[in-house]
Amino acid sequence: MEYLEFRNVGKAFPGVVALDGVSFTARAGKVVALLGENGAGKSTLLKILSADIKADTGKVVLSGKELSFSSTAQAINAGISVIYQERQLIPAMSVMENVFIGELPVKNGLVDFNRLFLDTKAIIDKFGLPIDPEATVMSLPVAYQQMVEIMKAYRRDCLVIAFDEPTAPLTDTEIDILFNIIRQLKEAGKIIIYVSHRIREIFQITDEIAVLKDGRLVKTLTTPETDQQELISAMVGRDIGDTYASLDRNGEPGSVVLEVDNLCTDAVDNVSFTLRAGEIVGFAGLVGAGRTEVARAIFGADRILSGEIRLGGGSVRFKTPRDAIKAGIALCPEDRKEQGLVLWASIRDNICMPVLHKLKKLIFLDGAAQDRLTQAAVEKYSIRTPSLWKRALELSGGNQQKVILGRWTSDEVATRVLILDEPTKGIDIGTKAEIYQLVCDFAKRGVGVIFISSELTEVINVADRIIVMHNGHITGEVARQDATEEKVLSLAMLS
Amino acid sequence: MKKKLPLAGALRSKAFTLVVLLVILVALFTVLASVNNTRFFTARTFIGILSDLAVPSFLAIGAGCLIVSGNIDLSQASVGAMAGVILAVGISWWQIPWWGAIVLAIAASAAAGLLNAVIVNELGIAPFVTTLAISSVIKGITMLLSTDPGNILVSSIAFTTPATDAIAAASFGDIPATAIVMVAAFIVYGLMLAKTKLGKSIYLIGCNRVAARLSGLGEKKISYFLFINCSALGGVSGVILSLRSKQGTMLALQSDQFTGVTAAILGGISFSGGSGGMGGAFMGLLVIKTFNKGMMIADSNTYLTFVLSGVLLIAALTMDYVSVRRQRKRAGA
Amino acid sequence: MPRRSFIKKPPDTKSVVLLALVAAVLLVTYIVKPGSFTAGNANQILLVISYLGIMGVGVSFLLISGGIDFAAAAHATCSMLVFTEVTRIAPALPAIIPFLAALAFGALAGAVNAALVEGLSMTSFIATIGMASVWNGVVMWYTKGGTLALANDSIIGLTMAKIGRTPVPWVFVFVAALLAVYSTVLNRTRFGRSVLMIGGNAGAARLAGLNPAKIRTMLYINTGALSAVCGVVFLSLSRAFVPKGLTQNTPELTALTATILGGVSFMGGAGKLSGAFLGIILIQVLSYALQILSLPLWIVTVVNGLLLLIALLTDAIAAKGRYALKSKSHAPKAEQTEM
Repeated sequence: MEYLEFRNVGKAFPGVVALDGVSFTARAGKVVALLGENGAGKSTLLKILSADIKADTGKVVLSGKELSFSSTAQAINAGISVIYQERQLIPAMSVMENVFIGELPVKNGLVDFNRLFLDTKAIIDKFGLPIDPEATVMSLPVAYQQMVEIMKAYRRDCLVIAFDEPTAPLTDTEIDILFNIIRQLKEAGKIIIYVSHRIREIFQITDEIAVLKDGRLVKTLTTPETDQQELISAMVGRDIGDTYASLDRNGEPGSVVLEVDNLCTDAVDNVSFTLRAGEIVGFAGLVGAGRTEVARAIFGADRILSGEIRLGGGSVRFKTPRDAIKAGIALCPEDRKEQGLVLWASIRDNICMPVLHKLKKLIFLDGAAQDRLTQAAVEKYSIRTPSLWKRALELSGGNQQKVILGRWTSDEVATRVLILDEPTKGIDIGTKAEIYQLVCDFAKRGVGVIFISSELTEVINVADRIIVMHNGHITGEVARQDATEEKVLSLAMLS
Repeated sequence: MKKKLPLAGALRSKAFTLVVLLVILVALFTVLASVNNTRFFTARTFIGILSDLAVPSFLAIGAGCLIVSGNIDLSQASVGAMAGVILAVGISWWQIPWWGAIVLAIAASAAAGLLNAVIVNELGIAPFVTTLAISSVIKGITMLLSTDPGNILVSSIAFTTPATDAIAAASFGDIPATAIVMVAAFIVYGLMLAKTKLGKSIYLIGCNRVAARLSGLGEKKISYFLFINCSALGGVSGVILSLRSKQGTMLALQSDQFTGVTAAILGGISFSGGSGGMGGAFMGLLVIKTFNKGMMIADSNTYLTFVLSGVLLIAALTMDYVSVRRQRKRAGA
Repeated sequence: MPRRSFIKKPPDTKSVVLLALVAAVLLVTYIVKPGSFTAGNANQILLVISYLGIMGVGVSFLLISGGIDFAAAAHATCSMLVFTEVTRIAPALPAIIPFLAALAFGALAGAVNAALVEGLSMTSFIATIGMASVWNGVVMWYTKGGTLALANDSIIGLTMAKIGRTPVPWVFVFVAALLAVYSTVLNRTRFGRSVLMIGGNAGAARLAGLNPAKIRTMLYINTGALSAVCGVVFLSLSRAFVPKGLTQNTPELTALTATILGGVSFMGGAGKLSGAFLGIILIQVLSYALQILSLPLWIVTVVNGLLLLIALLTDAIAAKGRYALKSKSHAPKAEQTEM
């Protein structure tokens, strides 16, 4: 019997251990769920499986044979297919060519479109889907695009098929179709790995569950023998309780600084909430729940369709982030390296960026003032660097995040509302604690903070109030005193 | 705390390379010329080079600033030709005062830049094809302007006024006034890039447009400014060329079509944006023109410069590729 | 047994529009100047379409794969020079020898482009513009700007044949055959489909075992070789080597405009050669019409620029959604690297 075994797999990134000796086995004809919070190590595990990155320690064994590939293409040829949400399809081409990409059937030197059509049709019929093999992929709904990806894996006769959050963009009927296909693949004796946050689905489709937490395998469970309660408690409950208890918080929030009324954009629907000065409001929810989009809309980075935003009582609608910054709104974006920092520029440039116009002497930039401002931020946030001139890309993740925070801390920016989008992603525990305190310091200075995080423990312990989003809507609001991970998780997942 | 600007560090080494290259070139041409029984190492040659620099220098300044921000404009030379023709036509056919003609020429050039900026920023079309297309449109307009009342396309329109002649002839000692204006322009733009908020913003936008936008740098406004600036400076070089040759021609600046871009890249302004400076661009230009001058003295076939302009562009791109790769490697990214 | 559905696809609106535009231009020309519809004019247009078509096939193939070549006209000119020089050195040789020499040069020049773009990962447009400048410079330097006569006139008659007493531009037949062959390659062979695939999503194609760099290298060489053929055809029309004879009309831009007008995407991954060819026909009929109607040259030049912009704009609109897979309102991106 075929099996896929992870044997003591470990992987460390600078400053953080992503996987720490993970071992488990997936058997043919079984669906194994990988369950865990963001940062638990699921994605890293999938990337190691698909040869996107290399493990530091341990090995992956397929039916007794150790796998070692130099490229993802090799892994695919060896029968390992990881289906990500970023679909590896060619949108302008037909379904049949996408399914048979790389191995189009040929007759007399020409592509045999008839056979291509029939072979594709056979697979489509097997899956029971209403897809025209000749339709272009881009004309299909998202769910079917994903089916095309699965058919591609099926056509290649891949033994191992891993799904990364496959149901996130799907509707309920579409999910049913997907599950039917997964059951068929299961019967065909494939080894299936299923990564998801959604507990309900896990009970519907999987046979075994491997629960990851902070890069470690916490538990392996047999699905029929467990329940939701056990799963959630296995996933959560990390023990850095002391950190949270010792945070020096702001006791009394002031008056309302930001009001959002029925905000609608392409990605969010009727979002309303208020934020007080000196208050930290957490935004919890799954990846893609619309939290980032709310932040970007307030910040003037995305188009607003309707709704009203009031800042300090006055109605505002920012056309560009520049306008928002002038009005005192600051954003630390989710993707630190792509959107937050100018990696090739110095720490000084990165910190002074939004206030350059205030650091002038006559028409020239005032170098001394820039140094002063940067020095102040570096000391205040204990950014560990030998020089203000070091390039941002040479810093560790935690220090990079502090540089971005440092950008919004000076008197020159006069931040009134600070939006943090996943500020601790990819950062080690020690630095995380420092960042929590920095966030509380902002609140103590009277800044209203929006704290977006996918890490439950963190969001319910740092924020004063937690707003939970699902699918572009706000599904609930919980005060810190009443917040439990279970409560927030159920609002975020079981809608 | 040790003060060391990473960008300046890279630039310094590049400028140094160019100085070495320049010395080698001068030595080489001096030898070559003496073999051919002509002389290269003379004051006349260097004043000649300096005055040759004036026209393309404005192209290089405009193109350089734009490339630092991660954009490009291939219509600059056509715009320059148009500006020269407007000056000539304005004075000799439309009978407007010389200063009016100059203002008109530069305003029209700036308008072309605005057009480029609108298409690139608002319609999201790649800058290089946009500016190629606009280049064709501008050439057409230049032809229209060069068509005389008798409906005949005039390839060169002569003009003369005491004032324009005086400007063209102005000099301090042996050094032409235009060369001094050029040096001043390099200094002003160099300071702008290195020392002002605008300059700093241009670098940051060139490195990471998204992060710059989210930090409130107003990347769109700056992009508009740079496109307009690039075309307007193209117009300035067209006007200077016209003033000097006392005529406007739609064929002007053809051999300098890519000189600005080449000089900028050769001088260390990375084609991928975000690095380099005006000092480098000046050195790049100096190398190009010394090379051209030397080849012309050493070889009677003046067409050789056409080959060299292409070869230099490819060489500049190769150097850029090598240095970007080395930097990436050093930074471990 | 299900059969491949040969149900009629929706009509190719782009081609219909292009054909209608060609017809409209012809009609206007006929109304304004009925005397212009002569066999001589028709032949002239067909000849121009022929050599531009040859270049257009190469350029559009490359564009579909996601590459771009602004050196095509320079390659053609330099190939013409190679041809001319070989005939001058050895006038007795049959025309096929200088032709092969020109072809070899074109392929080599294409390989140089490929080396710069795929090997040194330079930006394709600026690298090929640079190479165009090099080759044009070589031509000017070698000829000192002068015209060279052809020593071997056997190719002069190659492009035109006489049926009875009417001259027929039979080279057009050759071009039509070339188009058919290349269309078949693009539409019906594995290689052709791979070209579309790497243009549509190079990452996905690479994962499926295709090699985008290798395929594009072949296409750069192909573009170079076809440019050489284009050059030889042009030479047989111009009957002497004129250094700027071809390049002064910027045929590489015309070919680019035409192919994009004809539905080849500027961003790669989509297009048909027949569409590109229709684009070339439209542009040539239009520019010839402008000449016949004795509109001044400046209008032609402005129209050329505007056409390129229009082509790019329609392409940009059509391409929305082709490259970013459509997702429902808020489909999230895949979870980012967890570290």
